[in-house]
Amino acid sequence: MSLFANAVACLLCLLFAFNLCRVRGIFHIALMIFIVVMTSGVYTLFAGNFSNPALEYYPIRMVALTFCVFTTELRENRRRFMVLAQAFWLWIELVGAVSLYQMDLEAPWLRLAAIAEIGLGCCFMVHISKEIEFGLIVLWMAVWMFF
Amino acid sequence: MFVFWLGLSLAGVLLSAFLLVMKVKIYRRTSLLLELSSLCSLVVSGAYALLFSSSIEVQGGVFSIGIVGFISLLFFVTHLVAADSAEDLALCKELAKIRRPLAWIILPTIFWVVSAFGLEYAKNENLFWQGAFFPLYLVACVFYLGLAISIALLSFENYYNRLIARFLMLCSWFMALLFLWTILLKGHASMMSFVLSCAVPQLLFFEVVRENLWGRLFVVLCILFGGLLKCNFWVNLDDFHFFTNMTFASASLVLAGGILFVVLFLGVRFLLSRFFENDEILMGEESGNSDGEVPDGEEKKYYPSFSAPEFKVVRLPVLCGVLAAVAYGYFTSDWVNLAGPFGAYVSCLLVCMQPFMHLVFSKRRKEDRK
Repeated sequence: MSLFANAVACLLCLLFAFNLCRVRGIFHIALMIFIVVMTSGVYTLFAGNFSNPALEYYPIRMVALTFCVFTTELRENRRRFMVLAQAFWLWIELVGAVSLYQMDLEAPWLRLAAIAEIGLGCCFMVHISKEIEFGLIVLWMAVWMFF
Repeated sequence: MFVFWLGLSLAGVLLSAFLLVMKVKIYRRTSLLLELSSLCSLVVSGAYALLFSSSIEVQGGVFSIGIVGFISLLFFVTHLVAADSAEDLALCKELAKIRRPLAWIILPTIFWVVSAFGLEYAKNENLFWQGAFFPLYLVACVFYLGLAISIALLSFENYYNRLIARFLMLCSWFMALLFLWTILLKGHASMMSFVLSCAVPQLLFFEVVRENLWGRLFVVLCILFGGLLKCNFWVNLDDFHFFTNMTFASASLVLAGGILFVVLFLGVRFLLSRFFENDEILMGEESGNSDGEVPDGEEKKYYPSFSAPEFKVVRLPVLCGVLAAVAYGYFTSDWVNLAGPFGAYVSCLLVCMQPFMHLVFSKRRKEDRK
């Protein structure tokens, strides 16, 4: 996927997370996540080249990034869910990297290391201020865009 | 059939651990049923493995399933003994403290095992499924089957958990999306399975079906059969292979697996009823009208990083587990299949030893004071 398409996907994730923050109730949140998954799939279908095996899990990566950004808006158990969301992203990236490695393709190991480091760092956070929230979002976007 | 029952053996405990980690409070009977169903499914898959031992190659993946089975047994036994009915109240309290830490270890272990199984299967057995999507799809299917079997078992117990029914309905949409994605990626997928496990559950939107025991049973049995067809498709890549190759012997085997599961499940449940005479632990004796959510009685308290009670329980065992996994990987060069489950096995054993150690030390302290 091109750099521009990747950037648009990142912006879409921020938009999804913003909308996800505004919904209340398990049913509405699930409906919103369904829309997020569907939109991510449709976006990947039209923006990327399907012959590229790295796009197989691209929509799920988008969902993982959305979850990560969404957790910054939580008020209760924020650190727990932040770490869980990053663990989910890490798991998706790990499975993707191993499968790409099995197909003798270049796997994004650096991205994996970056997510693991940020996730580990989140475990140490005591009070997550607005500035730190912003910093985390920027870090995640950087990982998405540049690694 | 082996793959199907293997999936079910992970499904119940995965769902139970997931709900515990996410702090979704459900009645004990629901989580007990889920954990028990996992163990019974494991026995059934073991029976199939013995029956077809000549065609099943024993690899690291099989051992990892065994480790998950053992951890699930620990999880289940801890849950049982933590019941208030037991005589030693101090032990019960100590065991109740390690439930969530165990779930924190079990959840990633199951993800690890299923992902490793999917990746290895795609690499060695069926190149058609090679890619990053298949392991994710496997985990989603295992989770979905767990929801379906829990509703079926609760229905047999004359109990209805609305929370799980809602989860099931929501998950059916996600499964439909994953199915469409499979078609886009691979070109074809099992249509029969889609109809049974994604389209039929939409009937739960109708109150007539949702509130009726037979309606719910019909839906969840369709989902389970759809799951079976999906497993068949993963192995044979033919939507109708299950029906075209159906002989009297294979149909009998399918039936025998189901009967063995039901007999085992009811047998163990009967034993539990006899040995643990407590209203809370007896499963499904009332026809509940609640939605299955237990009101939150815990006081919400903020814990600084690395100081939550769960973390204090889990930190040393996990550290030892990671070291054990690294040592295992270093000496055997098997970093994918067994290193993770082996580490989890060590961690779970150490976590389970903690309550007993606490009790022994507290008794000694009391004796010293006297």
